[in-house]
Order: sequence, then structure tokens, then C-alpha cells
Amino acid sequence: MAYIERPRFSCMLGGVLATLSALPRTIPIIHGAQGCGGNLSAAYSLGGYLGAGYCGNSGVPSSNIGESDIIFGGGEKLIREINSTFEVMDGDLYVVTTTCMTDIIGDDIKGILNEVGQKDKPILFIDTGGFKGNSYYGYTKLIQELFAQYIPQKNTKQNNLVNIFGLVPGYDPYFRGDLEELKRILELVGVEANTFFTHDQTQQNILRAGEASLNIVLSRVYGPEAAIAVKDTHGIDYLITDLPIGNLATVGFVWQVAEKLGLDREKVSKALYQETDSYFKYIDRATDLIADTDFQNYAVVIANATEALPYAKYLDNEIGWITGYIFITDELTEEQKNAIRQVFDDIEFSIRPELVFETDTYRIQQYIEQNNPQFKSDAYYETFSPAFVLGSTIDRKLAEVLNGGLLSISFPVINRIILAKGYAGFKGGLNLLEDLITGQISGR
Amino acid sequence: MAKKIKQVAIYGKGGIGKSTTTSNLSAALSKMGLKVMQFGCDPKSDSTNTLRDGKYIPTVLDSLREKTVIKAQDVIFKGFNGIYCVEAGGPAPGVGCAGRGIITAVELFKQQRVFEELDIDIVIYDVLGDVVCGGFAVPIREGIAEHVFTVSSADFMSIYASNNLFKGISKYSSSGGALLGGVIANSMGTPYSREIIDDFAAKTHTQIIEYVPRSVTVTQSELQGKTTIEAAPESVQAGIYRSLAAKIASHEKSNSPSPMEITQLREWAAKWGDYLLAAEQGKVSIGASI
Ligand SMILES: Nc1ncnc2c1ncn2[C@@H]1O[C@H](COP(=O)(O)OP(=O)(O)OP(=O)(O)O)[C@@H](O)[C@H]1O
Ligand SMILES: [Mg+2]
Repeated sequence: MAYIERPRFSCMLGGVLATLSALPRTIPIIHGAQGCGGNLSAAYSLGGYLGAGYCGNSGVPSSNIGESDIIFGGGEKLIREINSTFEVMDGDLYVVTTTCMTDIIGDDIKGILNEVGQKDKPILFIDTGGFKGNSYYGYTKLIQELFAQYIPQKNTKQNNLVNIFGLVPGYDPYFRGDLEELKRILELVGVEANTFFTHDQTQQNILRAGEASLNIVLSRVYGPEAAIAVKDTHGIDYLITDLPIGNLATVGFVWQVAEKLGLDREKVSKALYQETDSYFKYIDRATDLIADTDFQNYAVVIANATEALPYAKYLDNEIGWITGYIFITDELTEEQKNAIRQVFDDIEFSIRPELVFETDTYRIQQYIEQNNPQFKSDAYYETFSPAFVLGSTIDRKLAEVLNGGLLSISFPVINRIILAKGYAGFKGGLNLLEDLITGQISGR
Repeated sequence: MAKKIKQVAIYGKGGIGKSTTTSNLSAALSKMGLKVMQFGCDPKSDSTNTLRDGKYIPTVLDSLREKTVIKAQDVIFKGFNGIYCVEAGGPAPGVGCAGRGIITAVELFKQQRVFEELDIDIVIYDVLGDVVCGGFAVPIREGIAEHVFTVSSADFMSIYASNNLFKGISKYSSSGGALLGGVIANSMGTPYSREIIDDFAAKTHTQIIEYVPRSVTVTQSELQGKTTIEAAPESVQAGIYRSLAAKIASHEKSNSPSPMEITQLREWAAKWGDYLLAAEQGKVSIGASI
């Protein structure tokens, strides 16, 4: 890895805090110095202004250790903080998270939790020294720890109950809208989903996760590890797949789930037919405008390992855009890259984009400038135009160089606020179409 | 112009005799008329015991635990012949970060300009044996101590620790870190120990500053809670410590050592092993060069 010039993730603790802020009535307790909590909530708010949730941002209890706690150990401070938190913070689940420095000095959190004793509410511990990995890794580990420490193992499973994982609050900026839509679609085919993060969820959904018969992981790299571990401990089968965007991908996704759960094919076909029908009735209304506009674009997709391919697939398969480049911006191991490459190879593109792993914003632009013929000489080439960038707000410069539009789909998103919007599923596919067209006509 | 304060750090393997040597050195320097401060950089905080009748003193970090702002004056205690004694202190074993403790304690003194105010001539840091993390390297970094002396016996593990220290010194030597003054050869007893330590010094391009024999006078003095200089000033051993003190007082120029690579060090030790075995079997006599 080079020096990352503008990072598109924060540390492990950052991912865990964002995730905890999205869980129902959950209180994180940070064991660390003052800066960690504040700075990391500033970081995750860049996911479309994620906000505090039930207990996030400056509301998060923190032991705020100082130099002498580092020298003599921060245990006593943490015990005090836990006790005060129980007194003043009303939650259903408490999670102690550590920071780089308390991990370095090796404060014994498990021992401390034993000493504090189980209160009438559950308290868990997750070792989140920031240096252990990035926010995506934090998310994966948190899911794993919830199963390991909190979610009861159940021998009898509920046939049509699933859990959905893989989208990281804030760092997958549209996570909640996406989960709502997928939950809605699964309900249409008789499947109930625990999403953990949509507003209908309570601790009961988390606790019932052990009764599910399937863990659906919408990411090839963030979550599979947890799903595999959970298969061993809780006996829950898993489906590792991709975030479905638009009609084709969503229909495919539902069939994958249906097959795993052995759903009634007729019922599934019927439900999907209705959704597809409605989807194309909307598309139909847009056709005049599409025909009017110079709508077919060259595209660059810049996103994390979970989302980049699904967006590129939508652009090609669903609306016929030509994606020239897909940039995946996370730090990945060779193994993870290979998992992504394999999925990429299996996608049918009319024109196959170039898949590039690049963490640095300026290098993404440099890559296109050095590889696209139009930038290389004055001779006539088919120009990469009109162009559209689906990336982060920090890819604005690239959009300017390409003289094209920009839609912020990946972290950090700071030029729009994201509340309920999602791009997954049928509705999300339509949302995306709306935003891509709007991006081109908003100057009118 | 303010006078130049000499700052010396003593390193070496755990239990090798750093505190004993340092305290005797402080006592002898003080007897020479210099204003001396001994700064124990070890969470055990026993460096200055023999300068204060075997008694422990409150440490810098003890006071820091109680209040956030501390004055250096509150943690300086006078010992034998007016020597200023300071113990950095540290956390209980197994918790917290002793290394950070050393950094904090040393920085506190640096900021408060204590040495200047007390008009000190020489500060000697007695540092914990194994430089396990960055904190214990503080006295040799950032120009706090200028000269480092390592206490070593002829035992391989002790030499190994010294060699590691040399690596640390070379690492910081180009960025204003301390340089190596030499080796204080301690507990010299067996006839071959001198040869071994001499050979090590030659290989790493440094010098032996003093040979200190193992002596029961040291033990006797320690049992009275005193340095040899205080308890047995007329003894031969006290004379050796005085000689060491005179050399360190006049020591001006230290160097960057040439530590051995680990494989080289092992081969070197193995050669000595073979040689000692042969000597034991009477095949060679001690003193023949190898
Ligand atoms: N030259 C000597 N003759 C006799 N005994 C000695 C000599 N040098 C050191 N000792 C004894 O060895 C023991 C350990 O010495 P000392 O405490 O000075 O070691 P240290 O290197 O400071 O140890 P630590 O790393 O634990 O701080 C003491 O009991 C001391 O009296
Ligand atoms: Mg000692």
C-alpha cells in the first residue's frame, strides 16, 4: 500500500462505533483518550451525515484516560465509567470498546468486566485497537462478537427467518435504505429478515438471530468470515452474494435465497413478477426523457469492495452505460482481491470495464489520464465522454477533469444527506436511475 | 554562559550490577567534589537505595498518580554526601506502561530545568536492564544523556544485552542520540572473563573503561544499606570505584559502536565456548590467543 492520500475508511474502532450507533438501544463505552470517540464520530458522519442514532457522536461514554492512566493502567477509570454509564445511560445492550493506547498497555478488560459483574443488562467487550484494521474489519468482528458473546445458540431454526449482513453503517452510506428495501422484498416471498439496523429492529431481533436458517452476506469480503464462524457455533447456513441493484440483480438475488431456503417457486415467481412489472412501468415513464437526453454515458465506478461491482453491473446490465473503469478503494489482501476478481469475471458485461484496485484518490485520476487514449495525444480518439463518476464526494476533481457528472455513492459522502434513501433492490434501482438522470438535467 | 552538565546513562542486562556500580560511581564523584544527581529509571525504584541507608524514596510517578501537576523539587531527595536522588518509579508489575512512565518522568525534569537550578555537574541515569520498548530508550535519544556506559560481565547473555544496546545506540547516533563511552566490566572473577570481555570490546570497536572485580566488600556494604565508598572507603574495591569515577569525570569523547550481527555474535560465542572447553581439558592454556 502506498500512502493513502485521502482515506475512505477509518480505523477498526471507527467501524465499530458507527455500527453500534445504528443498533437499537445500544450504548458503546469507549476505553481510551478523549479524542477517539469525537474524531471517529466526525469520521463516520461523513457517510452522508449519519448522525448520532441512539447513542453515537458526543453522546458516547468514554473513560477519557490521561497520561497517568496510561502509565499505571486504565482499569480503575474504566470501572468508574462503566458504573456511571449504567447509572445514567438507558440502554438494552452495552459494549465496551478499546482504543489503540489501551490495547498497547494491555488493560485487562475481561478481568474488569468480571469484577464489575453482570448488571441486569448485558455488557460485552470487543477488542478494537484502531491499529488492528479498518472500519470494515471492525464491523465484521463486531458481528462475530455479537454471536460469540450475546446471541444464544438455538438448535431449532425458523425456516423462513434470515439475517442480512455485509453493509457497514456509514461506510456503506445507503445501508439503511438498502436493508429496508431488501427486507421488504424478502417479506413479499414470505421471508422475515433480521437486519439489525433498520428502525423496526429491537434487541429481540438481534437475540433471535440464532434462530435464523440463513445468513445472507451482501459482501464478498466484509462479513463472510463472521458467517463462517457462525456456521460453526450456531449452525446457521450462509449465502455470500452481492448487493442487488435494479431489476435483474434483485430477481437473481431473490432466486438465490429462494433456492437456499427451498421456497415455493410459484409464490416467488408471482411476487417477483409484480415487482418487475411495477419497476418497468416506472422506467417506461422515463423513456421519453431518456431518449431526449444524451443519456448513454461512460462511467467510472469508485467504491469499496462490497459495492463497486454491483453498481458497475447495474450500469451495464440495467441501463446500458459503458463503465470504463471500476476502482476498488479498500486495502485488500491478495485473497480478497481474488474473490472480487472471480465475481467480476462472472458478470456478463456488454463491454468489460477495467477493474483496478487503488486506494489513492489522486492515483485514480492519474490512472485514467495515463491510460485513456484521449489524454495521451491530440489525435482523434473516441473520447471518454459524456462521462459520469459514481464515487465519493472526494472524486469531484476527477468528474471535473472528465467534464462529467458525479453521484456520491461511496464513503465519504458529504454533498448530500442520506436518510432513508437506498439504491438496492427494485426501488433502489429506480432511485439510482432518478439520480443519474437528475444529475444530468439539474442545470436546466 | 551556563556550565555544561554531564549526563551519563548506565545500561546493561538485568541484575548485572548497574545500580551497585552507579551508586558507587555517584558516591565517588560526589566525594571528588562534584554535584551529582542519580536518576533511577526503573519501575523497581531501588537504584538509589544504597545512597539512602537502604531506604526507598517516593517516586516521580507516585506523585504523578496523586496529582496532575508536580514540582520536580518534591521528588528529589538528598542522599549520601548530598547526592540528589530521584526515582522515576512506575506501575505495578503487569499493568500500565512503565516505558511511558520513564518518558514522562524524564521529560518533566527536562522541562523544569531542574539541573540548572540545582547547579548540578553530572546526572547519572540508571536504566532498567532490558530495553523492552521505546520508553527505556529515552535517555539515549533526544540528547538527554550524551554518554552511555554498559555494565557487562563475561557471560554470554550479558554480552548479548550489551550488543543489543550498541544496536540501539548506533541507530540514534546520527540523530543526536547518546554515544557509547565504553564497557564497565563487572564481576570479573575467573581468569578468562577478562579475555572474553576484551575481545568483545575489540570486535565492537569500543573500550573497557574499568574492570570491577566481584568482591565481598560490595555485599557487606549492601547489607548495611550503603555503597562501598561509604561503608568501606579504605577498601581495594572502593579504590576501583574511585578510579572509575575519575575516568568518567574526565571522559569527553564517546563513539558510535559497531555491534555484531546476531549470527556473527553466535559464532563469536561458539568460538569462545570451544576455547574454554579445550582449556578445561588442558589442551590450551588460558591467555593463548584464539
Ligand atoms: N562487583 C560486585 N561484587 C559483588 N557483588 C556485586 C557486584 N556487582 C553487583 N553485585 C551484586 O549483584 C546484585 C545485583 O546488582 P544490582 O542490583 O546493582 O544489579 P542491577 O543491574 O541494577 O539489577 P536490575 O537490572 O535488577 O536493576 C546485588 O546484590 C549486588 O550487590
Ligand atoms: Mg538496578
